[in-house]
Amino acid sequence: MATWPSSTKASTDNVDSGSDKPRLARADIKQNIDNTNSIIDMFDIASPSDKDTLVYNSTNSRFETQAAVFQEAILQIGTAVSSTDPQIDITSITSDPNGITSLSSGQFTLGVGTYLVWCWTANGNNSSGQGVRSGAPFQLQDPDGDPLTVITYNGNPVLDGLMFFGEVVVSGSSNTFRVKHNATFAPNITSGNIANRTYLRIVKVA
Amino acid sequence: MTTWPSASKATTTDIDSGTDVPNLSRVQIKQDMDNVNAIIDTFNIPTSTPNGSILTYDNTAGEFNTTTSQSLAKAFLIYNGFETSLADAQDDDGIYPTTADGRRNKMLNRRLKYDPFGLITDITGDGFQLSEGTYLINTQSEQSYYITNLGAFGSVEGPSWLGHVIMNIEDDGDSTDNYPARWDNYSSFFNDTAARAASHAYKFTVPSGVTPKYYVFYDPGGTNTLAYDGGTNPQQLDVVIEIIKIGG
Repeated sequence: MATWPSSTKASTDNVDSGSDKPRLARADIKQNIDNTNSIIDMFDIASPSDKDTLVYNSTNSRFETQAAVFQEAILQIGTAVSSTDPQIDITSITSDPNGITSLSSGQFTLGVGTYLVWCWTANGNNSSGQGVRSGAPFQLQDPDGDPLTVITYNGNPVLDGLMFFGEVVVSGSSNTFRVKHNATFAPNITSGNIANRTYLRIVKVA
Repeated sequence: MTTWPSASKATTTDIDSGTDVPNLSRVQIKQDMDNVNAIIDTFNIPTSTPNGSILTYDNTAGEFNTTTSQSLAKAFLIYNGFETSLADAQDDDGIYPTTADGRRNKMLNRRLKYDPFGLITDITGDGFQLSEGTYLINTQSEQSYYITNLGAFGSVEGPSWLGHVIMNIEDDGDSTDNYPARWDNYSSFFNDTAARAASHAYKFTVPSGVTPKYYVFYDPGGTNTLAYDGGTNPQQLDVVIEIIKIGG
């Protein structure tokens, strides 16, 4: 079991001056070698991979590489809705430091892996006197998937808070997802903007 | 702050050949010792380092240690429905009825755990324990009316809502009753059964030598045991618990 050698640092008394005799530093050199070996034993970094983290394992008392986990992205969903197209575009990537997703045509793509997905909304809803109102269902869909709909929120009216949570498994190859929102429109109104500010949080867990 | 010795690595000019005279390598030995000591001072790794700790740089101390913010180390626990069919009273022997996995009435069922840093110790009743450290715990309940069709969750649907409470079994020194079937002295760890999308954030510390047991309930003191189908089936909505270790 490795112990961090903070209390056994080697003395340089016999090697820090030109007149010193290194042969007198044998014990210090030995201590330095022991310390180096303790440092080596404290870290198991034999074959690190990109974005690995060093995590302490109390079973063998050393830091070991931990594959990058819990990579997280926040996506903002837009407000523009149309009566002829139920897709509501994902308009921007608010945060994605590990590059787990990308946007195209208002849809997002995830690579192979297992993900937890949250969908929050806030800012309430347009009043009934306005042309467009947010309504159910609010769905995460896989356009090429079977089933098409991955997660559905059916609450109506849409309330502030966590609308849905779920696990999404992408296997084989990357996959593209979209968000469908069934807004309601006043007569003679075919498009507009809902009031909600809605975000997707995506955490890659495996 | 210790300077990482990348710019002062020792040469091996006088000790890399069998014919070299180590006596001439004094300067190199001195440099190597200085470098090793600088490496030692760059990290603070006590022998009692808890499992799952991450080395994080502490600007004030000028070192990497395991006691400052470690927001990378986190775990997700996902609970759903609770038991509605069990009696909520002790029998003549002082035993509460439990499910096969040790849950009493109104205790939520855990169906998923993601814990790559080993923060969570599983205990009976789908409860959990945490090692010494400071944690931020975030919990969230879904709103009503959700359906999911993909992934490990299968297909479930729920026109219902699910509040949640985390309770802490207090260790009263009698090890024979510190588990759900016998436990009658629990205290509230945090308690808010607000409906629909209820959310909590709570910072707490597990001291050294203490191993609290945490269990997740649906409103243990309340009477609302709505089942998702209006009948006797447990609710299916998810409660997501995110536990972040923020201090060693």
